[in-house]
Amino acid sequence: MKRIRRRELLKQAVVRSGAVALALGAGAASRGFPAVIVRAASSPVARNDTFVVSQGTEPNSLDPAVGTGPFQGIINAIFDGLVQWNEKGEIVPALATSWSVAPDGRTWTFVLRSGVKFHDGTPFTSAAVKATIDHINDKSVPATRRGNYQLIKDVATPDDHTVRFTTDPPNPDFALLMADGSAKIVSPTALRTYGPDFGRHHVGTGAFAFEEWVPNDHASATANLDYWGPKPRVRRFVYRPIPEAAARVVVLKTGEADVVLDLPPADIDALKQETGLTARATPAAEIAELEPAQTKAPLHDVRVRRALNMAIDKDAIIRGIMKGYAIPLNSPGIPGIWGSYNFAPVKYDPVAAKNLLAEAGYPNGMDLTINITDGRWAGDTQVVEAVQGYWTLIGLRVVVHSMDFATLLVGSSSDPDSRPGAMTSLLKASPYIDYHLYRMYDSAATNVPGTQQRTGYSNPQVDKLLDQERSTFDPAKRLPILRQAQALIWQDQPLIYLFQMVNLWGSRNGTSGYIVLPTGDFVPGQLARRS
Amino acid sequence: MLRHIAGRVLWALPVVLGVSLIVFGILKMIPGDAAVVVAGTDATAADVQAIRHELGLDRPVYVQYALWLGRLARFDLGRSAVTRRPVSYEIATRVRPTAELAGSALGLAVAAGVVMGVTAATHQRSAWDAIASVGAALGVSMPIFWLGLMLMMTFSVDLRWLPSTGAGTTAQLILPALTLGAASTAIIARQVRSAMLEVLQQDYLRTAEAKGATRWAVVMRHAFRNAVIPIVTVVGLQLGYLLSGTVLTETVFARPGLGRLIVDSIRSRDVVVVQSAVMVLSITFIVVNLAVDVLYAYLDPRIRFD
Repeated sequence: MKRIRRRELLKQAVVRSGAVALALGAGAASRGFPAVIVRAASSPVARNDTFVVSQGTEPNSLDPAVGTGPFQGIINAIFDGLVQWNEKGEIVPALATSWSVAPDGRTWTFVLRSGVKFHDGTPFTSAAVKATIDHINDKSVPATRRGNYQLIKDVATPDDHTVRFTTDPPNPDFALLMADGSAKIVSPTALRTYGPDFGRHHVGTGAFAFEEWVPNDHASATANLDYWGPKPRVRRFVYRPIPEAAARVVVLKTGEADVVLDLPPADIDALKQETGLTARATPAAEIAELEPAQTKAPLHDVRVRRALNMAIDKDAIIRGIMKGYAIPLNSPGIPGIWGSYNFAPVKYDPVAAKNLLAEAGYPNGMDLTINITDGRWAGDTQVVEAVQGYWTLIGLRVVVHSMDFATLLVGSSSDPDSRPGAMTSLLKASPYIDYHLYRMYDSAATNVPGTQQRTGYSNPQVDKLLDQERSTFDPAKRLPILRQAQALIWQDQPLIYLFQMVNLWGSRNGTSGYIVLPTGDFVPGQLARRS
Repeated sequence: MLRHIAGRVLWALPVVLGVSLIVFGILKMIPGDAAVVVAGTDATAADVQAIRHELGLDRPVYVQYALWLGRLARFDLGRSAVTRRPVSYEIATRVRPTAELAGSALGLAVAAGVVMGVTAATHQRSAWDAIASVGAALGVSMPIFWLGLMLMMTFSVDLRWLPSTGAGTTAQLILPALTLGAASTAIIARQVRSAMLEVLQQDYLRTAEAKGATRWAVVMRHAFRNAVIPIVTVVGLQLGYLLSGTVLTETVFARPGLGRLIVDSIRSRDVVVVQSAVMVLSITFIVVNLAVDVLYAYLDPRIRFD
């Protein structure tokens, strides 16, 4: 008996040993954990009826208050905001049909669309708006942009279809905040029912209703037949996180995805030759820069910062490293967003830069440190190494420190006094001009514990102008102030301005009904695809 | 027999404990503050402090370790700091795809490796032998991400035979399994070849041939059976390689799995998830080695009495 068993085993031993043991291990593991039922992919829908969007990042949550990142497409499919951005960079109605601000600038009234229902049947009313703001302010919710909502002092609901926000201080950009991804309106019933698990039960009013989320594989939603706006022409919307850029190129080529975001620059030219798809490069509301700690020598001197900017051949970096997929940056703002102005470029001139450094008292150069997290965007390390090279050419001693992002942030938010001569390589994306100028250049923000961009830059005149523009509601009066503030900042050259980023993305031909915003967010509208 | 098994199991326990200490220690030593990352960019110092307290990061290291071990023993793994889902959910949703991938890659490696190895050994210095040797050298040297992309380019983009990415269907398993299994196939083939060559020179095989046994019987019944112990050892060890290889394979092919969960969690400093997922993989590996040890005793009765 035993012999036979052994012989049987002999035959199968090699084939099965590993597989069986793995299954045992896996079995033991899953027995120990509470039973979890993972829904299998739901009823097969023909690929014709499914619109697939792919980007690199797995969502951390599909709760709009929590899930902010490069996977906004699926959240935009499920949820609507009161207002939203259109392709021209304007704010247009969504769940609110109109809005107005009282003369004191503190009270914003939104008139809500009637007859709208959440996917769970709950009618959309002012109570849902209030519940959404309360949800964002709930300390137990890890809402990453909670800070932006602190100006809301009260949310009043005089009737079902009117909501009135009181803000302090007054803010002309309040409607823009309501267009943010984090301000999408969530079902109050779902919030009550699921509590802390709302991030797994996604109920909005969007064109698509949540279907399933298989972690690291896909999140999907089905067309909402009761949608208040133009109804999608596909039955299903799928977001697929594909971390490897080369694999994203593959799914675009094979048609396994209809729209692919964050394509690698090296592949764009080849993709443009492919039939059946269109590869695009559109300006992004995002800049690449180095943030110097400037409360102490040597970087506290404007001449030094100007010389550093002057010593870098930025056009050569854009051509050589970015393969042309970046835009020269001649603004302290973000070109393309409302209120951002361009100024005279700081021309590449290593000789003038060297003279300027000598004039500032550094004829023999200085020691500088650049902190960077390798691989945050395509080409980042090469760009910083090029900068290091250009600065070495004018006699500076530059060390590049590569570190993980958490450590980098700890450094960039530490007291600038403690790191003279150091700078941090970062990307900065901003949805609107005041958000950008305030956090980058207002002394109330640049040297405060906990802020990421703690350069210590401070110019009282700039502070005053930013205060002024932030309390000016008439755009015609506000623009000149914004221009003046930016002109002052441009003189100070508080940052090492590298370039503006572009969004590299591609779509299959025959797809329509969506926009890709300068923020890189995919916004589904009346989605359609030709099979 | 039972004594042999019991002894092996007892030996595995300190190994598990040692692994847990290493896993915990490494995650303590890597720089970066988990609380800062979890708190997000707009958090105040007070928020960060609150999160640090919530995660228990403000307590002495040995207390953190002891608490973690206690929770591990009760399978109370807590919640992910990033997704706020239970860690057990995060792991359970990934066990199956990883088991499928590693299992099929191993099955492939064993099947192809044994065939290649036996053929090469019995046809020494023939074309078969050369092909197997070159194939083995290639298999070992091709990095997973490169091989994966090449297979994708060929079978998904050019030929349109197979889906490139994702998980769920058998078709989606083929390319990742080939990619992950390539190196192990090569290693197993080489091991089978050398083990077989050694056995094939033995006198008793000449005797078997002399008594008129068929070539098949000589090779498979007399030779292979005696060559199987070192092969089983290599196969067991390969599972460790395969489990670590899933990290790259799952990333390239955008498959859900434990490997990718670990990479994502390391990136977002989701320490609780990293610790638990690495422990699951380590314990799997330990269990496999235990199984291999027990298997020896079945395969070779002499080992039971050592």
